[in-house]
Amino acid sequence: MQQPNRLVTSNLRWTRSGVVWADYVLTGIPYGYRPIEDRQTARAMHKMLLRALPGESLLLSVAVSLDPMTIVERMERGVDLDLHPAWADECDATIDRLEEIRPGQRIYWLSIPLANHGFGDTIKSATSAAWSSVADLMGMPPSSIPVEERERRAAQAAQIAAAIPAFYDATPATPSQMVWLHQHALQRGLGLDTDMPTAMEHPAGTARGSFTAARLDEGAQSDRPESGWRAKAPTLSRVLKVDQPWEVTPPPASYQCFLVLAATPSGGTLFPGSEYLTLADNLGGVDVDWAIRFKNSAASEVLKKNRRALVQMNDQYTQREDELSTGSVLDDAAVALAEYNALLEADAMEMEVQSTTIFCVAAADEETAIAYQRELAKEFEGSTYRLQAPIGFQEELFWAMTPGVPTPAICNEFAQITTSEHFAAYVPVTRNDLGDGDGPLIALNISSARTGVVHHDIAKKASRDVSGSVGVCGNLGSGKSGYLKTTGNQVVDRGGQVIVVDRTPLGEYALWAEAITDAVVVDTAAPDVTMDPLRLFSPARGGEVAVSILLPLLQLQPDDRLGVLLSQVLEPEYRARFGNFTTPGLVSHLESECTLDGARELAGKLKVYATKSYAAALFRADLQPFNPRAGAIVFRTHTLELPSEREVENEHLFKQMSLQKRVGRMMYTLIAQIARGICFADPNTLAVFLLDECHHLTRSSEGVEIIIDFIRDGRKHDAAVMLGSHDPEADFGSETLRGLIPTRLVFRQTDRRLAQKSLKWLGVGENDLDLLKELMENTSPVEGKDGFVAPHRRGEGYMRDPAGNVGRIKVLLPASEARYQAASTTPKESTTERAAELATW
Amino acid sequence: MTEQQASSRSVVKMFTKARNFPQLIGKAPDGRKIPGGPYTLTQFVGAGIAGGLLWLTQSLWAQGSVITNGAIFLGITGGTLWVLGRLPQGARNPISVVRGVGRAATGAMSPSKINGEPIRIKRPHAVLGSVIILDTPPIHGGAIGEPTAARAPRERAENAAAPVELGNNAVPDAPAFRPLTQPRPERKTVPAPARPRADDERQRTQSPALAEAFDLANLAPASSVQQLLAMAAAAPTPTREKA
Repeated sequence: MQQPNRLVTSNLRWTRSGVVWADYVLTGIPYGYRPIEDRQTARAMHKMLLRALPGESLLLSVAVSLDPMTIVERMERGVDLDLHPAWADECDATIDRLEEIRPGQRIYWLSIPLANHGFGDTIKSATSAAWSSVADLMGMPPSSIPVEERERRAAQAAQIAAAIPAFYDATPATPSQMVWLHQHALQRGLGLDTDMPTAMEHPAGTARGSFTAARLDEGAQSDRPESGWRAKAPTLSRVLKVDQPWEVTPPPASYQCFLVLAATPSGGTLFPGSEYLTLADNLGGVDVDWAIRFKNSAASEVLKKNRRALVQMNDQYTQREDELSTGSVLDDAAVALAEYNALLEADAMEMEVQSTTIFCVAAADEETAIAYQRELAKEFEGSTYRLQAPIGFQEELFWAMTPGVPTPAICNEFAQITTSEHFAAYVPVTRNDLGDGDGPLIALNISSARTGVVHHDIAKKASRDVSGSVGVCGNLGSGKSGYLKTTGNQVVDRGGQVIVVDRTPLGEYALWAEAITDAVVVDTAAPDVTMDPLRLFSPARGGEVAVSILLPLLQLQPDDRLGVLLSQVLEPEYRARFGNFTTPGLVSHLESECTLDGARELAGKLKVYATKSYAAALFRADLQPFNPRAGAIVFRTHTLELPSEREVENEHLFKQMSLQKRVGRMMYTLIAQIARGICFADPNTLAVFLLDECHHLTRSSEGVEIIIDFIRDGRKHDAAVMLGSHDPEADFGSETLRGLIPTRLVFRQTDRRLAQKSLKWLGVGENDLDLLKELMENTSPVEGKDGFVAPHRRGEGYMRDPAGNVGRIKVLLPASEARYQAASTTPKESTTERAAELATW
Repeated sequence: MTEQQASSRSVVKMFTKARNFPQLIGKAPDGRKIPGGPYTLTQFVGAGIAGGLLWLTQSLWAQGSVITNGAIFLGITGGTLWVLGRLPQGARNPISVVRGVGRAATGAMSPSKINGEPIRIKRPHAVLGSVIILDTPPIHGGAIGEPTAARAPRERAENAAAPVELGNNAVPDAPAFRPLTQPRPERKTVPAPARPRADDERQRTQSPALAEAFDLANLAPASSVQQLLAMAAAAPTPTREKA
């Protein structure tokens, strides 16, 4: 058979059979882990799609491996690699890693033959097609199609496209995309695909020669040995070999196996759960293309056919009345016919959907292709669907999967009929995309076995008016800190800044930060730089911050005597008169120079803290301020003590609070203030405030306010906050804060209550038992008695992106060796994380 | 599963069997029961064809007595009936299955097709035919060399794919501008500059710019045969020294 296209223009193809086909590229409806209501909507969308396609149509789903270079290009987009060599290294290392993972995606392609209206129309297109064949035979140059005809067909196609629900974003295919599809069909299973050209590239027509000729060899007869009896005997193999041996450098041959859906579960399946086409994605590492040939007919026509079937059925009962039992077959058929008729009669808009589903697996050699074929059939058998590879019809099925070819006869033999309402429950056109179109690669999308990639660009979120902030929750050692470090690393490598609060006694984050950049580590216990706001901030802002932290520390009211005095002496003008004293200077100033009322008293109160070692970062005079422009600034807070919730809420306990706890509380607020000051300072540099175990900060209302500030206003200043926690409800402060975090990640939660809370926060059904079980037991599961997570299972979790898509992910640590070491190494004997579980993944 | 979820689940099925159920024949048109029935349509047609063929070809096989012949006839027809009765009901159309198997079996014989055109591969054969190569005697400023000289070596340098010109007089031109004092050149052919190796199609298609730049006679060898000849001529194999 010849390739079917005669002339291709915009999204229309005039074919050799005389029929004009219109091609569209569809976008899948978000599905996967969406809540049940959304899946119902997806089903309704499919019903509308089917009803918009009367007559024949071809729905193709093409599995393409994503080229690692394409993914890396997305990672590099918008970053000057000369200025950020570390990011360039990371991107380079990612290429190698992606080569192993081979992530992919699905492209949906809808091809509709345009009906001929009236007898004259049919004759005209048939003559035109016949003439072109004759002209070809005689070697005459191909003739074009008159402009009026082209316009008429374009209008006809547009009319159909207008009926397709907008959710599918049906984009007219371009000739270059059609050529790409043709090329893909010739090299399935070889991993040679380029990215599908975008609609913007080459919108003009394409020469017929672009549809490369190929040799289709059913049964791979050309692979037989040259001599011996095998050279003459047929191979009887159910494989189609596609190659181009005459090329100067012939591409490797593609061995393709085609299977047809022969039977579905006889009792029906439950929706959700009926999405049989997703089974094709369950073969890890195998690209399965599929196509559905539809023939949809209106209810009135179908009822006529059904009436005929009823007559036949009655006749069958007569023919078989002498059998002891007519068998369940005929009775089943009678029940089905009655139900089918009832469905069609109940809904005037209902349609019959006649579908033939064809699957194609391919490989670079025959054995592998056949093995895939068996594997796929087995996979479907597991769900009681039966696939068949009809011998002798592989080439016909190849053409059945090609737009522009009339439905081959073999398709009718495997046709399944049902109503549009029922077929819609198979929801073929779906996607599980997560995250952004470009930006750093944070995870693999493992919602199905067809691994996808998840990009998450915190910086770009701001320009899209969404906060880039992220919330992460999960058990200890579930991959939380690994994710936070990796993302922090990406921010630094792309020219941003991270400010980290490190609670761990061994300085896990401090070590990490020092390994990746010129980090400033501020140890509140043994400081070598000062945290004095009067030295870090501008005089005016510094005064405000100092007042805001010293008032609660000294338990003063802003409007009482000493409170007013403190505000007074920290006024910039006042400080300027006395040589811009700093916080340590404030104490001596109040003691000696200050003549205001109560100065000595205030000095006395301050001195209580000024001499304490745990407040040295604020009160020691011999320290220098740190560089607020450093790539990473880490505040080590492991020695700080914090008041319990009861102490904060209960007045008499609050008054009795120990000095350490008061200082601890003050320090956290100061850190948040400093972080806010640094992050909001430069609207052109991304700055991220990274807080693992964030309950230390969210425990105080000031802390929650500052974080909400980050999320609300951060996008204007290119600032974001990343929060890590165990319990999203208890630790992410208020309801407002929980709701405001747009990007949410949930890692393993072994406790039922915490898992439920996490799922609720994620926005999927907290009562979905399957999902709950999966989160608790099958997400980076701890196997064996020594609590070890298998290396390939580390970092699994769920993600909800700002668009509301939910999917299962596997977080990736940095690809480059040094960065990987930095992010994955946990100091030994760490008490906050279990070293064994985080050592490598 | 919660109540709410269970209620939102619905059964989905195909109604194919409502219209595609096995068609059996158990009764004659007059309502009488057919013995041994009911039969599937396949059985009916298959056995009918077998019986019909046997009936028509009696002269070939009916050699024995009436009893033997009757036994053979009934045996084969009945056998066909039985075998066809074993086929699974409601499966694929048996004719199509037979067609598929037939196609797979004969596929080995038919030539492979490219874009619908059958390709018949000829048997390997030798390319014969002897050629006499005449050496041109050295001519000082000779007449034959004249046009070559006029054509100037510049064109050769530019037209890298044209190492030798194949004029009407099938003899390689001797360089006409050779100084008189020099002895006879050792080789009659000029070693070809390496062909430009481009990865794209440029190698196969001829650039239109090139076609415009030179008149037809000076064109680079366009056809593959010409290219082959050019390469052969350019190869540094010593030509037979013949006067």
